[in-house]
Amino acid sequence: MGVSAFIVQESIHADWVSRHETREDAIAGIEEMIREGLAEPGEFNIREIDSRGETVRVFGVPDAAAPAKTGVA
Amino acid sequence: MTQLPSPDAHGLAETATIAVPVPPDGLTLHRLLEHQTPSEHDFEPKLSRNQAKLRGVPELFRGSISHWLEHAQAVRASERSICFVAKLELPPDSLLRVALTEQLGRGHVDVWAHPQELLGAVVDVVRHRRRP
Repeated sequence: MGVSAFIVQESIHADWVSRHETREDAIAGIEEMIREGLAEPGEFNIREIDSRGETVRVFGVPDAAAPAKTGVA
Repeated sequence: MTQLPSPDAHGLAETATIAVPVPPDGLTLHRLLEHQTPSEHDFEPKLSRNQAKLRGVPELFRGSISHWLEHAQAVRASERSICFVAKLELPPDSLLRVALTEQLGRGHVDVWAHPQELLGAVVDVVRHRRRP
């Protein structure tokens, strides 16, 4: 299978969205979708696969990706 | 041992997609569900044409959903502390099309089918609790 990769996927059914070479690129992909209103925080997560294609772990994006919840009127 | 053709075995690029009918002996796959009771919603592709374009999903895969050859592969794809995995036994004589897409993970299979057809193929649901 070659190299390890990071798969952006829908959180519940694990339907895939995109494949990235680095963790940072995968996180940036989710953050961009959230910023542009194409996704809600928590809607997608990241599945890391090793060079054999085996899932190493699944993790969400840091909370920093979520829009700020300030109380400014 | 999967009966599905892989791009590598045919000298194609890893990113090539070979979509085929279900093999003559049928095919067993596994799919993560939202709840323990499966519904059509679990087998419905969610993206509109524009959503797929904006998210960078190729049009080919807008209508497919993710399955796994093995139960354990489906479980490992979930982040939830409790997840539900449906076992599907797909019949050969159907409109279903499947493609082994292991560039997305070992045992990953994209499936194109009517949600009712997939719901009708569910033979078991296993509740899996992840150990802390």
